[in-house]
Amino acid sequence: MAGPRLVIVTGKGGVGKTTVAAAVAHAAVAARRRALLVEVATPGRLASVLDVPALESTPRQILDGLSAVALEETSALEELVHGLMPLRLLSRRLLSSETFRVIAAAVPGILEAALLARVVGWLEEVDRRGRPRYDVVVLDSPASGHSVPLLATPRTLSGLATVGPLGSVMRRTSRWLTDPALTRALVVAIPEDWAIAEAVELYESLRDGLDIPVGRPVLNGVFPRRFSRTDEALLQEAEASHTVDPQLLDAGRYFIARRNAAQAHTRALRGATRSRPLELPFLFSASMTWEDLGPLADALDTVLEPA
Amino acid sequence: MTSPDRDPGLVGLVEEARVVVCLGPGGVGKTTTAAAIAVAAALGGKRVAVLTVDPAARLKDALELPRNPGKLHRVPLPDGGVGTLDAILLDAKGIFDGLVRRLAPAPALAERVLANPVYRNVAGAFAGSDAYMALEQLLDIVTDGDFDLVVVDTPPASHALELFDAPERILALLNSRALEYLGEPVRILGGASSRLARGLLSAVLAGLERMTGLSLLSDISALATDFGAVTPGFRKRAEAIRDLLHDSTTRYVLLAAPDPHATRDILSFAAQVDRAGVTIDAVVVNRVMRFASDDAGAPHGSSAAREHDRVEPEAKRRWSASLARNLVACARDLDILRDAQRAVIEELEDGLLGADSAAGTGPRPRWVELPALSPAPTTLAGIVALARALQVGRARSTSAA
Repeated sequence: MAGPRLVIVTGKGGVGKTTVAAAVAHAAVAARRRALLVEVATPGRLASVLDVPALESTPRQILDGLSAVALEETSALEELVHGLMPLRLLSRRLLSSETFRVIAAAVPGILEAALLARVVGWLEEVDRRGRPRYDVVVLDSPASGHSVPLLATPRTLSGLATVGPLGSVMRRTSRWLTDPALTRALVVAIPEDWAIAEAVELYESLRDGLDIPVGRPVLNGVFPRRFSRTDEALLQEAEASHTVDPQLLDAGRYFIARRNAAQAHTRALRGATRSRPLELPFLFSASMTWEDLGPLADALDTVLEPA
Repeated sequence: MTSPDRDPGLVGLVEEARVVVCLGPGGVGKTTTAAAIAVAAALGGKRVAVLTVDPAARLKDALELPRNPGKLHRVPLPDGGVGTLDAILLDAKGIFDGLVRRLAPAPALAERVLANPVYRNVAGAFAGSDAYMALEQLLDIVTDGDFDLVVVDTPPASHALELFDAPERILALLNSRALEYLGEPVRILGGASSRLARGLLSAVLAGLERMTGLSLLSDISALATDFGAVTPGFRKRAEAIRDLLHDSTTRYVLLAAPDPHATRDILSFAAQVDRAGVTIDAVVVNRVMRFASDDAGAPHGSSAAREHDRVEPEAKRRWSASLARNLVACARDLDILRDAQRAVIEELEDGLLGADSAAGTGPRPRWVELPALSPAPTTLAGIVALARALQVGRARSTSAA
């Protein structure tokens, strides 16, 4: 019963991608699967959730069963060039030149290819007994504007003659990204109009444009349902008769409004994607620690189930 | 802790500005706020242009933006507006091509540059990001258009320098020998260009060529040669953009959200803006949750303790035990939210208005808090309502919404 090996978390900036990625890793660890959390997005956020000073450019064990790494272009490009050039001294010299960066940027998709090559490298890494070193790799991908070009790279490059080590890495990457048994992309939204619209667009470009297996959309920050219809009627009555502290009623009204808005957004997301969204509860604490992720992880455990 | 001067909105700021730049990290509502400032100024009688970057589809509809980007488009104002509003959607791809066409000494040369397979990617690398394209577009609107005010929404940037460094970066690149190096890539290796080094570099480039299907070496060298002819024009424009960014009639509005997870990002963004030598003239804290009880001046943080006292016995008799309990739980959770929001706003105030604030030593920025509107404005009327909350310009548009 092997679930996906690669979970890619995408969405518009500000919807809680990092939190969701960390929660997926949390669920993996709870299911006794060794997880690697990869940060491509805003540097620093993941480190603060994991309560470590900073993530490094090589995977580092954070907890039993959990490693984390910050994936950035410079080190990925370095790996790539070191792989291509036999002499370290020379490749270092080449990398230190500003002009090389311009040339590298001029080659379509080279930075993206370097990033994905690192991820596939980790996916294919094995321990001494020949088993995968990480059961699940969770990618906290950049904001939607950048994640589609990133994930499109193997396809962009596959149309071109691809020989040599990079060509084969791209073909391997493409196989990983399009295999429903291996990969699952998550599109994250929050109950706001702009986030829903963006999520639907992203969902379609991943699924239809890039053939990447997409899991159920994730709606983050959903207010809990605390009142039945009867309750709501009683609250309205109390409001008219002034029998309850207005501050309490105000709080109740606010919760009902947020809950209703979330439900409308769930329906919209479901209608547009034809897939029932996974709802993550709104967290009321200002801080976010690994322990706080428990309830989110519980709501996300189906993400790790086989397709 | 500071107690900020709550300046009456953005009225004065817009009155004295020719350009208003909305800044901030992604996801704080820059585009919508830029639209609101523009709408309000137009309703107040100004001839206004607003440059938007990547607006949500519904905001696009609200401004009736045309499908094709890069063109100014007249937005019909509600009755009572005496000014005019033109909106333009940033066409990051088109603007650079257009510049190459305009700045090239001969049309044939421009077409050759545009047709070069390496050009598209090099253009991106030169420019740094969409931010630079937005500035190029801004310069066009300011120079060619006949407007009292241009409001600019900036692309989401994790680092403010992407925006302010863009002119410097392109100037540095054009002034350096990088273009010459591009014409002869082996020079990357400098003095140590031994035969072996040359051989290996050629092998790497050949590998890249095979990988991409591009004839990189010849394409790069052709582009470098052709681009040389366009360089002086770009240099002039980069200088003009730098001047515009530091002009005394250019105003900066920093957008922030009361999100505890984003506070650090916003403060470091503001510090970068300061280091770039630019003063933040106003801070807009967007999506502030308002609670009716805020106005009552009720003490916070103790709802849970006061519990059932606040539910009259009569109501309680008809309620299930869970209803009263849940209501109290809501009040308690809202207290947590409210406290968290207040803590974030205080942190922002300290960081942006305090004595050693990130915003530097200039006059204190104006401070505006915008309520979280539900639903977010997706019509012109909604934007007008938001504009009222901002107190931009004199609202002559009471009949509008």
